[in-house]
Amino acid sequence: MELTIQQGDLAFAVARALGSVASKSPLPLLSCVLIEAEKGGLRVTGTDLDVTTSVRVPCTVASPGKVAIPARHFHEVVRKMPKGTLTLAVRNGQCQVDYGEGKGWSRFPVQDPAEFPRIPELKGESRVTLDGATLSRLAARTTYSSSTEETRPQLNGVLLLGTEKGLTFVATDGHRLSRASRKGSYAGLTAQGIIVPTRALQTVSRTAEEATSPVEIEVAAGRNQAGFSTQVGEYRVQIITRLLEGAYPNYEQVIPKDNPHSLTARRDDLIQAIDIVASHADNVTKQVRFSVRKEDLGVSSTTQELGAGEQKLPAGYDGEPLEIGYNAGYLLEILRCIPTEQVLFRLKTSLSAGVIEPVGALPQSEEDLLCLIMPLRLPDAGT
Amino acid sequence: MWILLADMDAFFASVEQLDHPHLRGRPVVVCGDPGRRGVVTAASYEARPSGVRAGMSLTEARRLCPGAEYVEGHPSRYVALSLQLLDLYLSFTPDVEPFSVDEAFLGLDPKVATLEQAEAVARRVQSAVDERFGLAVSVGVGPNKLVAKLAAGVGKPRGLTALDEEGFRRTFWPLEVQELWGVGPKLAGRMRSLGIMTVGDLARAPIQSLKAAFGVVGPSLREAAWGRDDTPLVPCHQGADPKSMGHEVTLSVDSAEPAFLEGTLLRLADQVARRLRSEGFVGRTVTLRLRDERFVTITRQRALEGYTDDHRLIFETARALWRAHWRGGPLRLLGVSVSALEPHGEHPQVELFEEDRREDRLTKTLDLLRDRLGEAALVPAGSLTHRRALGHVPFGTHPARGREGAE
Repeated sequence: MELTIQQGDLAFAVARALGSVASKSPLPLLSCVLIEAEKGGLRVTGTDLDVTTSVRVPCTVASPGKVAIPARHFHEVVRKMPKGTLTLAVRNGQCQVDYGEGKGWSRFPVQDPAEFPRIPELKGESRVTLDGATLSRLAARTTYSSSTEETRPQLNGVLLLGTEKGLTFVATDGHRLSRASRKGSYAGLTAQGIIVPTRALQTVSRTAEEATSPVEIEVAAGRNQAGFSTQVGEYRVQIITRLLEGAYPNYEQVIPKDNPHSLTARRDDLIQAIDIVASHADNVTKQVRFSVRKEDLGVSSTTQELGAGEQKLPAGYDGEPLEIGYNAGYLLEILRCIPTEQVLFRLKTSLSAGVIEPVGALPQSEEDLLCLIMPLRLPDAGT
Repeated sequence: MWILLADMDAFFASVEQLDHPHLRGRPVVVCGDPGRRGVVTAASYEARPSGVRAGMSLTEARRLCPGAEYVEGHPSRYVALSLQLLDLYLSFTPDVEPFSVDEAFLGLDPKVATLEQAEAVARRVQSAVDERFGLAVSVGVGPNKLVAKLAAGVGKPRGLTALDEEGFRRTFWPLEVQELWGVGPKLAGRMRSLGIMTVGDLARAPIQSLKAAFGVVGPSLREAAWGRDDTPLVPCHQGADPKSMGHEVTLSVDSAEPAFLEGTLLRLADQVARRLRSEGFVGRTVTLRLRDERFVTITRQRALEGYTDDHRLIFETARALWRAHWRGGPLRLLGVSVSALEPHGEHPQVELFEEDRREDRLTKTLDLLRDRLGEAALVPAGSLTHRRALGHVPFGTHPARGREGAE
C-alpha cells in the first residue's frame, strides 16, 4: 500500500473513526482503525462492534491495500504533523508516514487487517433524508432522557419514528420523557420507528452538525441496523449502528392529556433558582420542593448535612396550592433544552406526571417539544 | 459458643409507657397517626388479652379494645434507644449482631462453657437493660442463632429460656410446626397436608419427601427442626457506616459453565441488594471480582448513573463486567459488591410506567416474605443453577420494617 494525502484530510478521517473505537477492549484489533487505500480515496474505519464509523477522504493511491493501525496512537501523531502532503507506505510490517516534504517520518507497528471485524454491508430497506441541523437539534432535545441502566436495554436509546405528517424523537428512562417532533414527510422511518442507541445517535449528531448535505438514514430489512451517511465538505462519513431490539413502551399512553392546572414561569429564573437551591438537596434523590401558589412559586430544599435553601419567583398559576417534589437534575436538563423564554408546567397532583412545554412557538415553527417528569414523593405527603 | 438473642418486650409500646408515665399499666396501642386510618404498629402486654396485634387495622383494634390509649409512634426515638441497647450489649461481648430494631444476637466468649454459665450471662443482660433503661427484655440462649431466637419467644415477657439442642427438641418437638422459625402459615398448611403436624414430625420426616415437596428448602427446614443451624453471627461494629457491601463465593468445583456462573452472579447480586435494602443503603458503584483456577484475581468496577439497591441493575451491571472481562476459563471465585454507599430510606421517585410500579411493589412484597420465611424461601429462579445450599444472608433488619409484630 502506498499513497499521498493531505494531513488535514487524514487527521479528519482518523479522528472521526476514532470516535467509534472502543476505549478499552480485550481484542487488540478493536483498538485499531482500518485504513483502506482504494481507487481515488482512502477509507478509515473504526468500530466497537456496536457502532462503526467509516470516513472516505480524497487521496492519490500509488498502490492499493489495507492495514490496521492502533487508533489512539496514530491519531495523536498524525494530528501533530505539519499541514501539507503526507506519504503513507506499508513495508516490512510497519506503516511509514513521511511528512514535511521528506524532513520527517514516523513508523507505526501494524496489525493484520484480515482479522479486522467485517464492516457491515447495509442492505437498506427503507430510507429517509433529514437535514443535519434538524437531526442534531432533535437529538439534543431528547437524548438526555434516555436510560443508561442495563435492566431495560430498549430504553438505552432514542426512538425515531416518521410518518407522512412528521418526524418524532422520543427518549425516556421511566422517570422522565422527552418528545421532539417536526412536521414534514418522513414515512421512510416508518410509524413503528427504530431505537437508535444513545451513544450512536450522539456520534451521528456530532457529524450532522457540520454536514454539508442532508443526512441519509437507511434502515436494514431486519430493523436491526441503521446507517447514517452524509457529506462533510469533500468527506463522506457513514455511521452504521446496531439498533436496539425489544418493544418501546407505549409512551403516548403515559403522557397526560387532562392535567388541569397550568404554571408558567420564566425559564432562566427557574433554572437559576433550582440550581442554587439544589445545592442543599440530598445527594441521592436531588430532591427540590415546588410550593406552587397563585402568585408565586417557591423552590426549596432541606437536608441535615447540607442545610436548607429557598427561592421564590413570580409565576402564573390557576389551581389549588400544590406541593411537589422533583429531582433537580431532571428539571435542569429539561429546562435547559427548552429554547423559549417562558415555560409551562401542566400539573394535576403531587404524585402524577407533570408536563413541561415551551410557551409560544419554537425558533423553528414547524417543530414541537414536550417533556414529562415524574415527581418525588415528599416525606410529609403520605402515600 | 453460646448465642443469646435479646428481644425487647413490646418494644415500641414499652418505650411510650416509659416516656409517658400516665400510660404505664394501661393498654397502649402504638400506631401511625391515630386520627387516620392505619394499622397497629405495636401493642402493650396490657392490650394483648383483648386480641390486639401488630399489623391489625386500627378500626379493628378499636373494636376489640376501645379503652386502650392510641398513641402515635416515635420511630427516631426507638432507633436511638436501639443503638443505646447495642452499646450496652457490647459491654458484655464484642460479637453483637443487630437483628432488628428490637432484637440482637450476642455471641458469648468460648470461655463461657456450659449452658448454665451462659444462662447466668443472660440474666445479667436482662437486669442491666432493666436498670439502665427501665425496659423489659426476653432472652433466649442456645448453641446457635436458630435455637436462641426460638428460645427467646418461649416465656415472654421477661422470659429467660436456655436450651441446648436436646432441650430444644424436648421443648419444640411437641409444638405445632408453625412454631419453627422459617415456617409460615402457608408452609405449615402444606406440611399439615403431608401429615407433618409438629416440629417433631418434621424432624423425623424422610429427607427425600421433604426435598420433593419443598425443594432445596426442605432439608434445611428438617435441620432446623433438629435445632441445628450454622448461620454465622456477623458482628456489627457500629459507628462507622459501611463503605461497601458485597458477597463472594468460592465455588465447590471450578466452573467455566456460563449458565452456572451467571446464576451465581444473580444469586450474589440478589444477596447484596437484599442487604442494601435491609440496612437502608443505596450505592452507585458495582464491583465484580473473579478468581481463576490459577488464583489470578481481577477486580473490575463500573459507576452507575444513579444510586441503586435493585438486584436486577446490580446483576446486569455485574454480568456486563463479567462478559467483558471473563476469558472463558474455569473460575473458582466470584464476588459482587456495591460501593459509594449513601444511607437511604424509602424510594421517593414515582415511576412513569406501570411495569416499574409493579416491580417496586413486588420487591417490597418479596422482602417482607423473606423477612418472615427466611432467605432461602424465595430466590430468583435464575440463581437456582447454583446447586449449593443457599445460605442465610446475615443482616439486621432495617428499622423501617420493625418486627415488633413478630413476637
